[in-house]
Amino acid sequence: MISTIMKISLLNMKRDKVALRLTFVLPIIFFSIFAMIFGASDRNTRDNRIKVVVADLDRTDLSQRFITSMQKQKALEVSAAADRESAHKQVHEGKFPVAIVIESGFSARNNVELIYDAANPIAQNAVSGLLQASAMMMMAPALKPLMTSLVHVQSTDVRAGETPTQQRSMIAYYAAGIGVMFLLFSMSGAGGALIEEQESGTLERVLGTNATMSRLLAGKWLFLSAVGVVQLTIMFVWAAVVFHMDFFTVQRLSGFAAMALITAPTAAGFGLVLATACRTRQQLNGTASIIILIMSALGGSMVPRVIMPKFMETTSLFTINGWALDGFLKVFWYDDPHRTVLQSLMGLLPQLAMLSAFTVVFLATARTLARRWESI
Amino acid sequence: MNSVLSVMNAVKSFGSTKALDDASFELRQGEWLALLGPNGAGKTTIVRSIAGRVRLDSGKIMLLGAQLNGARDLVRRKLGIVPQEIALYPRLTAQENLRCFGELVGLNGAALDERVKWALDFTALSDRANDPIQTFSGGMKRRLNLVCAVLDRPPVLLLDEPTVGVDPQSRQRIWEMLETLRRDGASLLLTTHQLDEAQQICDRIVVIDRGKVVADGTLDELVRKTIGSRRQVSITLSNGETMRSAVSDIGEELSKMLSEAGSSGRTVTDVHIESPTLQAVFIHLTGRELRE
Repeated sequence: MISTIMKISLLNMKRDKVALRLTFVLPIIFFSIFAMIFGASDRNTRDNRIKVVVADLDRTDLSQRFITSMQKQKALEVSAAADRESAHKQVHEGKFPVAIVIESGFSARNNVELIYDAANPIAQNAVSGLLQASAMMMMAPALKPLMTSLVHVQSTDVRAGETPTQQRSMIAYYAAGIGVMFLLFSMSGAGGALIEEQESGTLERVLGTNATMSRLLAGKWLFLSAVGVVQLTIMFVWAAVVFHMDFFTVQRLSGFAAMALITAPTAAGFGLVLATACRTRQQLNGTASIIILIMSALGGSMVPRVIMPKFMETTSLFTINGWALDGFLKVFWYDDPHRTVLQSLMGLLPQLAMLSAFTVVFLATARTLARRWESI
Repeated sequence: MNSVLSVMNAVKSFGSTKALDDASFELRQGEWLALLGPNGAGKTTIVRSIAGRVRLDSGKIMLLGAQLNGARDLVRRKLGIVPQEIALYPRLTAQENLRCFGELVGLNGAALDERVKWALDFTALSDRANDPIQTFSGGMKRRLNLVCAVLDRPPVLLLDEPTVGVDPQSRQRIWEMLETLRRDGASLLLTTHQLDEAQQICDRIVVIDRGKVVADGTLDELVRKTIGSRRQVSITLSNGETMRSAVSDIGEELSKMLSEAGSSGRTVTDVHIESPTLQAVFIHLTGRELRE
């Protein structure tokens, strides 16, 4: 009896390809993604190097040698900045996770300032250690007379000194990451109503009325988009009210509005593609789980992209999460309070343009796939 | 009678399977036509072709004098389609479903209000107007399924198994609703497996098998063309014997059989006259082989 029940379950599972993938393939993919993110901590390949910008205020032979020693570190990719302000600005804007300022008097005191962005906690600690390693290299016999001790590193948060309304917190990152991931889940789930309507015959009946397939998809897309905007708004308002994320400034509200009004329609389009591509609700649920979880892991909804190896950061450019998070983080993390609202919105243009392009592709794909429901 | 719907030499293949093979028939004004056939005979393909969901490989379909193929607007305005499935929104109430489908066929304002009220009365669902239809019985859903297709008073009604899965009372109610629609001027084409009902209700019958129309006519015509119109008479006698005979003239031949029984000295205990049925015609035309 029990063996028969087991046999039935096995046969069912063998024939449910989505369940098979969820059970055996998805965990392996997930493990691989996280292994690639965290297992690459030795940073010994070109792609995994930490980008560092260096401002040499000392401008002595010793400071030049120290920079050369840093450049020899395989884990670092060193760029130059003209002065401290420039280095600080580039970290503040998210172009570099860390800046090193070799202060004047370095020859005498071995003092450097490490300016870091708390968005990338790994880079701060890793670079701090690598600075000592560079100093050690300079303490080789030939250079010993020049460098007599380890460097004195003074760490500075790039956002220190900002007023409370300008301060960032990781809450913004999580609100964006989790918000976008669940937006994708809810859109694909809601898009599944289309499959239910097809299965019940309602879709065919609706298509027999004034509603064409294009109108039907447009109606569904607009509705899902509106739901998505409300969902994101609730998430961010909750983060602001309960977790004190700074939200209610003109700059952030306008940035959020721009991102939400573009991200939600993109997610809605994605939901329609899945709904029109899948044959059953069960297939949709399984496929959506696989694609969204992978896209979320790669796109930074689970782990900040800044700590990912280079090739994974590149891969994330093919995900909705990657572009949406970039945009939301520009609004809530990398924004410059001295900019005007218009300037801030202009800064979001690459993300808004790419998400819009995704939307167009998704809608065209959904429309094409939906032809199978029109006539044969 | 004028033809309102004509299927002419319809051919449709799905891969190597020929679903329709030169099928032709017509529905006449004010007529109730049954389209019968075993599973896989091509009924659904015909229905879906008329509804514009299947493109014919060749042949044409005329609706009220205009060619249908690809003419979406004509289908929408002139044809009411009642699908076999309960094609309604289960979480919406009866009234909400009616209003939505009414709006989708272009009704609005007072006209929509009037038709929704009419539909609720027509289906005897006025007292359940504000209940979600997922709480309805099968018969109630079937009635609502039907009425949603006639909100804009289409002159031709296409019904795919309109009474499948409902109890006899609900079935009777649905047939009454359809009869009312016919009296109001609609022409009805329905597919069904309920041969007894088709026999009683429909004016004419088209039998389709393997994509071809194999018979077309009234029940009497089909009977004459196939199994013959002779009735089977069985007379049971007091000793348990049964006299059986197929007769053409029931008045003359039955009295002869009764006289014969009386002259044998036995008492007649029962007389059973079996008229030719649509079931017999159907089996004669399509065979006893199971269809998948």
